[in-house]
Amino acid sequence: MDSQMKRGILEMCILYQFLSTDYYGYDIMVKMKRYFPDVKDSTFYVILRRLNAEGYTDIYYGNTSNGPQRKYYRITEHGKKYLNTSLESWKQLKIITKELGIS
Amino acid sequence: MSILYKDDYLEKLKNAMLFHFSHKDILSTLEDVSLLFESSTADGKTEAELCRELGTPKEFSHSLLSNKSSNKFRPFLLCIYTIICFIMCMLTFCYPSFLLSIITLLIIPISIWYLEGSYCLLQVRPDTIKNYKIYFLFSIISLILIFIEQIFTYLLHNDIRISNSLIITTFYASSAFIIISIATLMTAIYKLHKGYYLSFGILPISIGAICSSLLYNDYIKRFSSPATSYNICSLPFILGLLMGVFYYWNILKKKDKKLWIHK
Repeated sequence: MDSQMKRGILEMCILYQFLSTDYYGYDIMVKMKRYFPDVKDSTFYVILRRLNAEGYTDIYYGNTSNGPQRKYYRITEHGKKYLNTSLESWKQLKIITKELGIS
Repeated sequence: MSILYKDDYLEKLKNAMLFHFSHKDILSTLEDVSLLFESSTADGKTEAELCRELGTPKEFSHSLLSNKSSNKFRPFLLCIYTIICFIMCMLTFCYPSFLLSIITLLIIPISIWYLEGSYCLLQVRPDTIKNYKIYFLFSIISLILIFIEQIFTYLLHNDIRISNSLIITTFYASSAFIIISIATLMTAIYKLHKGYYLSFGILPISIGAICSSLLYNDYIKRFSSPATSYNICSLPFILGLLMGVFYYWNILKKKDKKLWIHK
């Protein structure tokens, strides 16, 4: 898959996960790895970083009772708007490809 | 790919990111990756397993780099920055003024500190010294530039007159003293009793060269024989050069000592 396209899809998938709950870096990587086993962890990290840099997510630190300190990511309002736009584009793309007989 | 562990991975990642990313980016990435290691260990995964999943440090760095296209020119910009620093030095040596000397006084240590990766401190194991050849490269380039400066100064002969060379030299010496004091203090704070700073090797050489230049310019004011002044005025530079070479030689020789950079 084209890396640019893959990145866009991964971005959308990761942001979508943040709608339901906040995740720490490793947690979201493990979850995404189940669906995208060929993608390197570094790619997920780069996407997380980009989402944060663009202001689509913000971070906060949390502690678990016995475990290490964790850096949690949560979606921002700006991120929700961006996700909605991405989802709209994705739906349109699905309709177009279906009409073209792809899939 | 050889088996890597957390410390090795972070160190190699830091090396791969140096000169391509800002220090802030490097610090935050190292912190994030370190947290990933902690989380994965808590999850029952070994450090080696996570290293494999992250990809090689170079791949990791490339992934980050591909996401930040503007930073691809960072090494080029650093070279431009170095050249600007050199021009500033040349101007100060050849046309000294109080203001210019203060500007250069700030630029020289800051540029060395910046090129070495600036503000954070991380331990570098002596056996990984080969990873730091880039610092030696910069030191060698600086040395060559200083040699060129010396030749240039000698060629100028009687056209240069310095009235405030003592003040300028005092400023340079003071700055060197301040830098070394701060580094010593930092070393004490971080309990680095056996630590070395790579960039300090260039410091005595630079100070020697500056003193040589200033002495030469003052000397030829009173004596007209360039040959004599050449010999006498070269002494600080030769002394600084010997000290610098001894410093680097000491780093390479004493493998048991820790080597530190201003990362």
